[in-house]
Amino acid sequence: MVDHDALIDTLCHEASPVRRVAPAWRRALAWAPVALGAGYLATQFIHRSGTDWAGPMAGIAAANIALSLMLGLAAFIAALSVSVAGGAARLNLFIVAGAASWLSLALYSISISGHPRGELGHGSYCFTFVLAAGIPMILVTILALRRTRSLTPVRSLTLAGAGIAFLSFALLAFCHPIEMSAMDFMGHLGAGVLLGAVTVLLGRKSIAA
Amino acid sequence: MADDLPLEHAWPCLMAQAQDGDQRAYRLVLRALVPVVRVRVRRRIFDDVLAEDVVQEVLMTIHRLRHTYDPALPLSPWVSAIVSARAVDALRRQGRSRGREVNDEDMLGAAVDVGASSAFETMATEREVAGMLSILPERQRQMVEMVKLREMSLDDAAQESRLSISAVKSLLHRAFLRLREHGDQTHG
Repeated sequence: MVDHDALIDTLCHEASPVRRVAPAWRRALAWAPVALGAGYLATQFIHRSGTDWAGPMAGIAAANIALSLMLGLAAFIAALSVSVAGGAARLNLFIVAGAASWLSLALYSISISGHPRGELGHGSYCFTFVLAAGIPMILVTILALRRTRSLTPVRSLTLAGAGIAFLSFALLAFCHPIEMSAMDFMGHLGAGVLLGAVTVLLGRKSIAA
Repeated sequence: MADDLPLEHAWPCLMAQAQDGDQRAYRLVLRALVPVVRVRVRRRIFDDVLAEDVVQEVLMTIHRLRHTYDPALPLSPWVSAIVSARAVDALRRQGRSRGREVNDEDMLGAAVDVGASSAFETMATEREVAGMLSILPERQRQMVEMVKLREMSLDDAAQESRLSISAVKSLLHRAFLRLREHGDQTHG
């Protein structure tokens, strides 16, 4: 059996005081506004048309924004939680119900559209918008995850990518008509998946413990 | 010596003191953790040498991530997650290096340039070095290759392998000890 005392002595000698990390939910609440702010600033260069808040369907848009923010924050908390050794992502009933409601709202928005199927290239504006909002959020998220690093970087970054996608959807909902086509919705989802993939690719090495 | 080691219920408190910079508490908790880590590593890794390497990597990871431990929670699950991740990493690395090994002697023989007889001496030396390095576990071999054969600085080797300089030094130290032991055994 190897004696590890020499290594332990070296590690103890290097052991300066460290600042303990705050609970994941508190860190997520601190970082999410930064990510949203960065995303918002990045979309200022894209033409935006405001949601009709006086219209009869304004409640749908408000619910969409609230659900997207909630799901984004929940995924972000899970990413930060998983990044700590022994931490677990708790997919509770509340989140599952939120995701189901978000999907139901999207399907309802498609069903009330005049052109539910849409045409190829229909969602290109939304695709660009979600990417523009999400890319600065990726950098903010990687910065947040670097504090703890992660023993399972791909898992942490996948959850973070989902969070980024939902936070971007929330920003998009401020300037998107209530009705949308299936093609448009696929554009949203495609951009979200792309954001997740870029998050994993960019962050995998820099947050690995 | 083992009697001096703190019991499990004292570990969170000692780790909290270690986070505050108490080196004595840190030494106690790390020393108490070594046998526990070793048992958990050996449940996954049957090669003794590789298992001890993983124990060392676990200790270094605990050191790097010590700020992420929450003293309100038990220490064991936190350490177990680190052990599990490092053991899986080691097994993956071992699997990859085995996949790269070439065992086709005929093909290797055919690949030798017959006009290169003047280089036989160099090849013999290289073979001897390769033979010596082959007795080392992968991480130790990588360090010797980086620092001694590729003449990288300790800084560069630490950066490339994502380890601290002290960890690189420790790996080198253990590699040289092993090589010396091997030399003593082979040459009497």
